[in-house]
Amino acid sequence: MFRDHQQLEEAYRATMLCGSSRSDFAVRSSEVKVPRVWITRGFGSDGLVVSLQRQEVEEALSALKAVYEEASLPGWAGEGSEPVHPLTYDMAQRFLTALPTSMPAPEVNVDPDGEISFDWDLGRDRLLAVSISLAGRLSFIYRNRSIRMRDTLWFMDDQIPDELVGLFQNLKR
Amino acid sequence: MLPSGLAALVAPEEVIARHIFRSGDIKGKTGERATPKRQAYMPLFDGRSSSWVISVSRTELLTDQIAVERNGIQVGDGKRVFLAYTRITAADIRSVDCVDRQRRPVGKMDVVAEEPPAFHAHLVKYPELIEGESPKLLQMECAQELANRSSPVTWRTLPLEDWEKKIGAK
Repeated sequence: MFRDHQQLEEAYRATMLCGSSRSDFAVRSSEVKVPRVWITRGFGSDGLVVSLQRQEVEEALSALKAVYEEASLPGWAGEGSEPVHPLTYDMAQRFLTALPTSMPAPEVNVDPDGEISFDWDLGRDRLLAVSISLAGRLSFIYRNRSIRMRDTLWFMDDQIPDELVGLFQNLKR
Repeated sequence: MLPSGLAALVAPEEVIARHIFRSGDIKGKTGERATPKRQAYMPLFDGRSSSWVISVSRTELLTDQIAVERNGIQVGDGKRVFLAYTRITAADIRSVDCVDRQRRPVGKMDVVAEEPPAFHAHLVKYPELIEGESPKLLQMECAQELANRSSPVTWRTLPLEDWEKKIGAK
């Protein structure tokens, strides 16, 4: 327990030093059932970004579990659809848990090829859709009104790629 | 002419139904404004044609909503419970460009008759072999475009059949 509090304090101090949101601490202190906090990113444009378990991440993890169970058998979405591999499920869990506080939890879904997808759909043709594979390959499409992009990134060492965080920030503007 | 009575070629003005079997393929839980998500149009690999396709139904001879729903229940094939359907015209399908990394068109989506069973068709030409490109990305983009061009979903009104109750549908 003492160690957990110490981690919280350290993370809070680091967050405040960098001018990041005070609400991060409020969320951590009152709502986090499992106060597992760790620093995942360096000094970026948004200051030090801390990854932590939040209520909405817990909900996204529950949604992930539900789609994993739904898509656990071959043919779950018709002939030829692939089940979600346990390692893909594990990778998706780690991805959700590693999301910085600057990104809300995405909508969780599953593709017929067995990859897990995460969508941030802000409406009015603003969308970031990411699909994660067993190996951690992140296939994403990005639409911000007239701008269209697609590319592949990698989720390695439990780090959300900077490019993905940056794209989401652009989507919000 | 096909056994169903439909023309072999799908005309541009034909309305195509994409049957939906899981709530995860729909954005919005109820009401008139629920729309299909990209996942409703993500293709599956068809071993017979060795290509990526998705199954749809031609509605030309399906006279009303109930007929489309009955067709959807048949498509479930005793394994999946029909939930709703969305509509899209053949012209809208064929207007979806497949583009390369520089956004240059390299092809277009298409819909072709694939009977039997009656009224069955495939959405085809999901891009898969553009040099240096990931097929998954191309398919995601095309599926998103198809979803954007589709109508809001029409929810099922028919009661559950016995076999659907047996497999746990609510």
